[in-house]
Amino acid sequence: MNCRSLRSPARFLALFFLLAAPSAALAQSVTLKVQVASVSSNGTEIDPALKQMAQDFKRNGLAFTNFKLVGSENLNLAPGQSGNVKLPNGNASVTYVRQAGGKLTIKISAPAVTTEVDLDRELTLGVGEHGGGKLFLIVRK
Amino acid sequence: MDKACQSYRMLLSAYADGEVSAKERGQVELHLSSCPDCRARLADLKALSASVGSHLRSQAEAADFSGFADAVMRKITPERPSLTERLRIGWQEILTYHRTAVVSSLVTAAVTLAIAVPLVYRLAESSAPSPEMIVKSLRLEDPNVQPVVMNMGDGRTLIMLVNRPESEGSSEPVDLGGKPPSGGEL
Repeated sequence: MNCRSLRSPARFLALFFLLAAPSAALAQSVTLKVQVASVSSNGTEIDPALKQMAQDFKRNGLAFTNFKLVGSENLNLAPGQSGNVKLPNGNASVTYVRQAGGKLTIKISAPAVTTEVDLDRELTLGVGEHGGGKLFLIVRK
Repeated sequence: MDKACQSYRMLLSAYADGEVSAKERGQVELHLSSCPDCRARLADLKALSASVGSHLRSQAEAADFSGFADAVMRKITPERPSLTERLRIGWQEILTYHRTAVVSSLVTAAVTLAIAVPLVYRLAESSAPSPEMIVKSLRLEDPNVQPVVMNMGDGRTLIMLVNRPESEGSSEPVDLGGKPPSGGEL
């Protein structure tokens, strides 16, 4: 493209928005890693993907010993968009509300609970009971 | 005045100023001891010398020498160069005579900066408080359970649902210890 053609302000702005718009859209969408875990005191199996969760629980005095990964998926969401996650006791939806000042606001609707949080790094949310244990939805940036 | 007096009078002025040899001084003193005219002449010369000396000293003492040193220094000091010129000359002298020291100092400073800057940046980054999760709203479907919010550390937060004790009617969340997330409004 000839530099002279950019001298017109209108053409320059058009080129700017042409280049900036896709990158802005890419910057706004987020990918959330979502896991579903069934946790109980029956057994001592710990799924490798839930090792960190087991350590956190133990460190904070929670007596669960069995950590089973029920489901896992990545949700690529644009602002206002929701993604569904299948739970043993129903469905949960995760909605990317907005991102401002480095804070990511998400809304989670599950059979037992509905919450909206400014997500820091990871949220582990109890979403009910299943198979003699408790179900957790883990949402991670 | 006889011939002897003539030859000695040539020496009297030098004698009065102490500028004759030991041999001449002996000869003059020998003559003076025997010649009243030459002694009188010598006395006149000494009086004149003392008078001239006194006059010169009084003139010197009356003179104002307060600006003398400055005037002399102004004459012997060359024109002061500009600051940039002095810096340029100084830098050239340093590079000429202390090149090794300058290079090693610069290398040391560069290495120090290369180590210190990332270290300080990393320390500042690690000491900066991480933004904690804020629970903006929470609604439970089952009135018999209550939320327990726990900060698991490192930006991870747990919201757990526990059965509400039968005697308790409050819907306040239970804090199981740890650091609760800031600003939580449940």
